[in-house]
Amino acid sequence: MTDVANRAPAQPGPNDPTVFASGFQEVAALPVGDLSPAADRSYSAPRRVLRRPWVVQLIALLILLAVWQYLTVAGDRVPSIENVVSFMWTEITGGSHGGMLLGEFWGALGLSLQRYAIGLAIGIPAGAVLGLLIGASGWVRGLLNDTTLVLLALPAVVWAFLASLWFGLTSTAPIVAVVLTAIPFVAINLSSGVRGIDAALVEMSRSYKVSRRNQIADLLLGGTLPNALTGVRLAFTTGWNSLLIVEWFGATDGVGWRARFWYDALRYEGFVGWVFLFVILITVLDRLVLRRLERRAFQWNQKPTLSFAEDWGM
Amino acid sequence: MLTVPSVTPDAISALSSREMRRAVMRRWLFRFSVLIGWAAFIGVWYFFSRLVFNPQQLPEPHVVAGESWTLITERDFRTNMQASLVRVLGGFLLAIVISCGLGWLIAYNAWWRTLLRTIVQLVVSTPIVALAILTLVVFGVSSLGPVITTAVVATPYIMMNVAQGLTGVDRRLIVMSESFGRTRSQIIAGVLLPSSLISVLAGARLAFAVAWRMELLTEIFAASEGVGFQIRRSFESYDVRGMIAWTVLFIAVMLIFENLVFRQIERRLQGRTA
Repeated sequence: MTDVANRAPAQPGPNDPTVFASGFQEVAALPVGDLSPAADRSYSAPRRVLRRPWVVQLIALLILLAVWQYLTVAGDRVPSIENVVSFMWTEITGGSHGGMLLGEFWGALGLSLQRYAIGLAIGIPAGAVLGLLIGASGWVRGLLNDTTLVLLALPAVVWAFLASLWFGLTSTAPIVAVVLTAIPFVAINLSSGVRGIDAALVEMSRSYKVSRRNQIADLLLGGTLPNALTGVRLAFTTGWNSLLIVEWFGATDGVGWRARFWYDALRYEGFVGWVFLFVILITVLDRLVLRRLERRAFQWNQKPTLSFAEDWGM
Repeated sequence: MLTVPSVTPDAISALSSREMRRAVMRRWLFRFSVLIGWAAFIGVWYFFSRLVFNPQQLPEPHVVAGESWTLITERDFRTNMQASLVRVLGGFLLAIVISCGLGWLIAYNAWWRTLLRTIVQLVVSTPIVALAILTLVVFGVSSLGPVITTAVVATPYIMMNVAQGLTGVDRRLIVMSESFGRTRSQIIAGVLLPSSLISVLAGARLAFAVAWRMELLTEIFAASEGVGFQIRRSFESYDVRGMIAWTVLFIAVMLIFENLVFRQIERRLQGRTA
């Protein structure tokens, strides 16, 4: 193995984010974010500035914006950055888009978030119960595991289409779509967490007559929380996806419909602006809330740092 | 003090045969419950299509099976499935080509690693619906759009494993090849490629699973042929039967690819390196 891999387990810590390749394959360890000041001393001052991590991140963002600008100039379809920003400003403040068309933002957003929340509030507990049953008992696993895998294999689009055909232009359709996409993700992850609980620990807690309540709190919750949170995070992201699809194809309100409305009206700047809002919303939720929770839950579990893939957000 | 029970060979064999019988019982119970599970799945489907919805909203399993069979025998099926498969594989191969270059950069260059990390984090956390719709804006209804988007989504997964494979290569092998006077291209072909290939394949399988989902969704928004387009057309003409049949067939083909093709290649490679 390389030097890096040998060094890795010895000094894991927040300041030395050397990662372990898990998730994909236990082959190698790659250092992440290793534009360290120590290595930088050999560079001249201006080059050292270019090697600051936040400068590199800024450069990455500028590259993406440059690609956008290029697409705007090269084709006639992609709206320019300033058009999108000013359009969304009108949309958010409720100003006029020209003529009778008024901006509408908070109403649509509130409605969609409400549907999203209801769907997740039903789907996540339902998936959790299913996952606990599949994980805890052999014959329930035989009974329900394949069905859950079938549900997992179906893309969110299909659920979204089925829900909007079944329930029409109501709020039920998006909610049902969110529920149906959320359930298998939570169930599969939680059941693998339950199956991963050390049988010896269960045996020991029994022979030491640990109370039922402590068994549940320390063994079941402690052991499955990381997996459960992974499932919940996936339920959040795929649920958002299917909500948007239902609203795009079969709704007369909500954020997905609003984006579709501007697309059909050939106002691409409005449509692109809304799509960016979808991205920002789910990214903020994912990065600032869900991933942090997940990371904290994984901390006790002999996993010193993030895996390479996790650090890259996959 | 622990009291150690006296253990005779007879007791051991009696115990083990009892245990063994119990294990066999348990295995049969499990198989039986799998069977019951499938029966229940189909039963619930019938229940929903007959009693909860009507057969037009959710056709019964046998109707969907029949529809799938008629689809397979029609010429429509081959042209659409072919169009989708070509796009999935085209995007996938494009992703592999890009990944080889970027994976190299990630493995050996810290600056590029930090730069690409930021971009990958953004791409990966974008909802795939948003990507599909943006494809529609940038490329319009075309067959190039889905290929590009599929490549963009699949690249991070393969790239990551190319980098992992490259850093996992035994440095001593490279030093040795250099001291035996091997050229750079010989080292790449003889050392780097074979020892990183298994890691790359593991990523490729995951990337393929991501790729076909992305491609299907992009076709739903921005294509004029292909399975995704057919699913959308069935949806818009309220033809649930056709919609489910197309979905089932597409997933079946993709799972065959994932499980048969990739697993075969992986097994063959593992046999060679072991």
